[in-house]
Amino acid sequence: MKNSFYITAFFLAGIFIGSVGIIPGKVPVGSITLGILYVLMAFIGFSFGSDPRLPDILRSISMKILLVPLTTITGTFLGILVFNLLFPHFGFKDSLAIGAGFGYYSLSSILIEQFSGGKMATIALLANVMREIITLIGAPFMVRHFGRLSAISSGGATSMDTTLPVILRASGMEYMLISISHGIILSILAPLIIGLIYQF
Amino acid sequence: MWIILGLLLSGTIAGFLLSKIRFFNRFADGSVRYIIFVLLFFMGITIGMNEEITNNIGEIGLHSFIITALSITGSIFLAKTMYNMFFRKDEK
Repeated sequence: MKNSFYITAFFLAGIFIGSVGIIPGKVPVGSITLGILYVLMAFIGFSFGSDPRLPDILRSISMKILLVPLTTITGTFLGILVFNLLFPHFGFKDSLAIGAGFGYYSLSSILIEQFSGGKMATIALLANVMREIITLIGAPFMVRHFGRLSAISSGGATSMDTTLPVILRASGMEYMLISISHGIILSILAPLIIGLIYQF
Repeated sequence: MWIILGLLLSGTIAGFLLSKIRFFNRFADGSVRYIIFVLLFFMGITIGMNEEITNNIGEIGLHSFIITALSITGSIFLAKTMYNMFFRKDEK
């Protein structure tokens, strides 16, 4: 939660500075962003590869555990299909990619900015931050009415860290492994799926 | 796109190979957070300079909310089905 506050603050500060027009037109903001993005991708890979929990998680993966991220992906895309029926003028690829952030707002919005521009990136950031916040607030309600997997599924990629405490309180400690592996799998798949969506 | 995925993959392999060295591990984990802050700041600048976005922020917020609400609704309904089919019977 503290992290999402800082991220939003930096983002808003950037918007403010950009909109008051003090940045000269010849500063290559786009290339700077792309350069930092490359560094970030290598570092995210590194911290994922060196995660001490990784061997345990890989060993415990079973069909049943894979079923949960699959459920989240399918459920999210079903929701996006409904969105496209309601808003047919909104780009189908863009809405799918925004959904495919699965709550991983920082990375998904940055990637979508590269593929589709600032407007979609802003929607991706807001939508995926909201996914985390709604899960933080709504987890007990979800588990009561939709079963113990629902809060994990709602949390998406955040079920491994930021929303993990509320998920465990609502679903029970025995869902820890499922919740963490669900978050890790979706964090890996989010950039891959977003990339694939814009390939076709 | 391929550069991004290539960096992600080589980072993962490097991280796995060097995972015994705590220094690299901590450095990467700690840096990711700050790189994201800087990146979002620059993205904010790009977006702030784009009048198409700053003039339509209400519509953008509304779309974001509806996308999230529908994504979560789809996820939890399907999660309920999966839970009832495969997970419930294992309890107690």
